[in-house]
Amino acid sequence: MWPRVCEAILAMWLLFSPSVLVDEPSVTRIARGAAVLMFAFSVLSFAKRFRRAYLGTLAVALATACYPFLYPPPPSPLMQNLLITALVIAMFAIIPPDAMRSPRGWGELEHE
Amino acid sequence: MNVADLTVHAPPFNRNPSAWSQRLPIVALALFAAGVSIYLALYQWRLIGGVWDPFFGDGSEKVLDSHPSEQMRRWIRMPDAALGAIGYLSEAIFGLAGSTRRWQYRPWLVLLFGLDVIPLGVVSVVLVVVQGFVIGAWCSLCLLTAAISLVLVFLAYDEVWASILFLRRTWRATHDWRVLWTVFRGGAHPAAAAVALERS
Repeated sequence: MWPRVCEAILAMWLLFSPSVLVDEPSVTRIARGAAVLMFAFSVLSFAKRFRRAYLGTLAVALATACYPFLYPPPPSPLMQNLLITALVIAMFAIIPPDAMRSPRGWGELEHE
Repeated sequence: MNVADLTVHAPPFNRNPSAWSQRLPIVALALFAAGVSIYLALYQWRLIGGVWDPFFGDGSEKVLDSHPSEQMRRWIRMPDAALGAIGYLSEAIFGLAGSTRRWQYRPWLVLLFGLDVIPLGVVSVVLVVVQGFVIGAWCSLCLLTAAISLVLVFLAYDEVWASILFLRRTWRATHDWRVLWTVFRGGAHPAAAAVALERS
């Protein structure tokens, strides 16, 4: 589950980074909205019933990474932070929660 | 619960290319290259005043401030060194993910890892050529990261090749796209289990 932990930490950074970098209201709204969604999906993935919620993180991260391309360059520092953080979260969000374990089916097959 | 042997050799190799002893050096090198790229990106963001270069003096700064670099920055909305750092970081992340038998259990992850490592190596070589022949200046740390990219390709290819061969053997044994898709995304299948450890 380490990718979910990393996603949640990065989402927290995205949530609070507008307070660190120069604030822009429109980008801040997007950053904070995306951060809350991604954090929620990452935490939800810990519950067995919602273990595929990390795919929601992936979708939100990819959509967020597209946002800076809607505006002409050069992007502001906050916009670059949004893009880079979203891309890094997306990389973690590709990895399924049980990636470190052997899939159950394989173990059973090899013991038949 | 049945536990599979995670240390088996992956044909055609006499070793396990998904073993931690094989993957951790890749992760360490990728993290080092990511660190160097972040340092170069800090200069492009003007968060630091200059770049350390033991061989080419202000060559690094000429490369990092060059027209191709600025053009790329407009396209990708961030400094090219930052994109490089993201690329190396992704190699480290994908290198850490999966068990020591992922060449068989998660071929999609290994192929994604390969798609990440191999094009990055090619791009690094292209950027070195651009440095020398278009910009007319050299950047020691850029050359270092390009060399690391090529080493990473060399270190990663056997695992990718083992996964490709496993998928090919599965296809030859079944000629069924559904089975191939199931195995590709990590599902188990008796035919694939039978061919996994076969020597071709």
